Amino acid sequence: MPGFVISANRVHDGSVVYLDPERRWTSRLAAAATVPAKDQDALIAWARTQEALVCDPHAIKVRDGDDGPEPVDTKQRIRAAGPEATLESLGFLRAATPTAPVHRAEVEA
Amino acid sequence: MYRYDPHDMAIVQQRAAQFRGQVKRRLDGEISEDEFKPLRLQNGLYMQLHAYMLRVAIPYGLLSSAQVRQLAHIARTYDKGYAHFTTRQNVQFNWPRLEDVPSILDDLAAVEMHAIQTSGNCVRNITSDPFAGVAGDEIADPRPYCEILRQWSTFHPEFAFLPRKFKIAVTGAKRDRAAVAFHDIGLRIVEAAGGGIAFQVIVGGGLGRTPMVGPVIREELPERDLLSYVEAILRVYNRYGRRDNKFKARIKILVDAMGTEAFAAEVEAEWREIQDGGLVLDPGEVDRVRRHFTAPDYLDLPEDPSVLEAPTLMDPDFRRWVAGNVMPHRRPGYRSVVLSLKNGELPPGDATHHQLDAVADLADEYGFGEIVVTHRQNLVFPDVEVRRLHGLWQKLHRLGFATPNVDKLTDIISCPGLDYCTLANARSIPIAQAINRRLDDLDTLFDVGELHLNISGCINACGHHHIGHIGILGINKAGEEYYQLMVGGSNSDDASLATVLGRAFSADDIVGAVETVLRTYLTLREHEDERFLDATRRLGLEPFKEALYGTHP
Repeated sequence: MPGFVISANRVHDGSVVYLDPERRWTSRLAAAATVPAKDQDALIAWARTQEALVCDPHAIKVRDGDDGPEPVDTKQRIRAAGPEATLESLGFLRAATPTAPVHRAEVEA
Repeated sequence: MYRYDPHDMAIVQQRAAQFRGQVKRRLDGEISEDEFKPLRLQNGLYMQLHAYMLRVAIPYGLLSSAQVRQLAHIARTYDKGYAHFTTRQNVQFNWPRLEDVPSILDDLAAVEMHAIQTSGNCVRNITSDPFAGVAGDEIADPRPYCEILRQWSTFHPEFAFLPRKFKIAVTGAKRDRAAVAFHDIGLRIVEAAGGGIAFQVIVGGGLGRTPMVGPVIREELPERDLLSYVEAILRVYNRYGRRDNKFKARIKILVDAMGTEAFAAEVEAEWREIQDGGLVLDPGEVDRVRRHFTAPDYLDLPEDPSVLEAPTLMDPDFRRWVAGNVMPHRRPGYRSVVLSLKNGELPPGDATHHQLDAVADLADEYGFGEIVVTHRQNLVFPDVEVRRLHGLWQKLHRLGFATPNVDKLTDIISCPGLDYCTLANARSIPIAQAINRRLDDLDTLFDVGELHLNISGCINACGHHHIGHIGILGINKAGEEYYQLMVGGSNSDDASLATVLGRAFSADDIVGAVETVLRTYLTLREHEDERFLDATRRLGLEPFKEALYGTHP
């Protein structure tokens, strides 16, 4: 069903999230609620009350896809899928193990 | 390089501590996003398409090996293992979590780095010639003046809320490698008629929505007046710049609207009021800063390029690298080496944490521990002994940073584009990679020669498409990615803006269109040494339009 999905970015990591039918935030577009245009404003207003969790809520236009709602716009399709060319996808990165930083004393030495 | 004094150190440490408190309040729900957004932007933290992005300042592109190691540490500890060098000689992390950013700022402060003024309507990172201090054609080292301007502009209370962002570039060489004509203020060190040095002052250049080549408003500004004159320019801009329309707020619009002479007259009038005040540049202060940029302990070496002619060094790949990526040096027996971050596989300007660590080690082993970021998104080792070039090449080759393509077709500038950026209309990185894969052979076969190919994913022009010999601009047509193709731009002494050839191409067709333009050039060039840019200027646009569109542009 063509319609709209409410999306935002999570505050703690900036990741893309969508509003599901139970008004919970999910990272899976397939689990998002598709709503008619007339419901957009009310849902965005509600989403703004969630600003401790998410920021910049907005509606994106979707159509039916094989796996649930699919953004009509290229930008939103990329936003949903992630960058095409990452070093991870290109196989350049091994798992990165956190390390200790360079300390001030080493710089001053 | 410039080392922080206790005052500098206190500033960045206090700023990091202040931001830690602000982040805590945001995560605790005590402040709204509207309240937090200006605070995070003042610390270089943007919200991008999929995550936060932290932009870290690299003053005039100069890094120490310790700083590069810290960038590697940040990439692997707080990000996804890589960093992205930008066209403004800065570095960006694409995936930090908000709660980690204060710790990143602490780690940056430990190595004398920060993210202050990498966003917002203030004076941004001062950029310069990547070969500053070692170039043979240098009149004077621009870095002490960059540093003086950096200190003057950091937290300058009068210029914290300008009409729009403000970019300054300084070059001290006879050949412009800092694109000074395309900055809000461009400063060129010149030999003063009366002896000594002076600054040629260019104002109102820029790219973006309204690209302009900046006009000269003063031919010879004495060194003593550098800060007062720049302050006068910013005061005139602050007073008259358009705050009512974001798209007309840059100083280039003001200079164009007022006219160069009228704008210059306003600056001169303002300057007369403050010329002899507290901003007079004391020679002792210039010397104090200059001492941070004294030459390293060079060896006394003969200038003997024949050491590269040894039979053991006849590897054709090494020869191509020496011809393409090794640059002259003012000191006998030394060269500067450009590390190409455009090997066709990595997104342009990206480097993994492994590579960053290796770069830091090589900078210590083969140089004096300094690395410079170029505005073409490559790195430079400024000081390498000629006799050690082959050893360095072997290690860079293994690292993937020895592609011999500097200033060539595949040395592509690319903004992050729609893969990352909220402002973008189209992807840049996949187009750069597709061009590299398809046209690398063409370059090898026909030796296309010097060619700057620049790609931006939107009109804001972070990929400098207007000043590419070939420029590509991503646009949005009915929700789909399309690409305008243009030719004839230059960022150097012959500064010019590229002209769009005709209707835009789809993502599937743009690479073929670039190939058509190149084949047209190869067919019509007068001789093998006629550069693409010179050929387009001689031929005009018609042969390229004809080849691309036939009779239907």
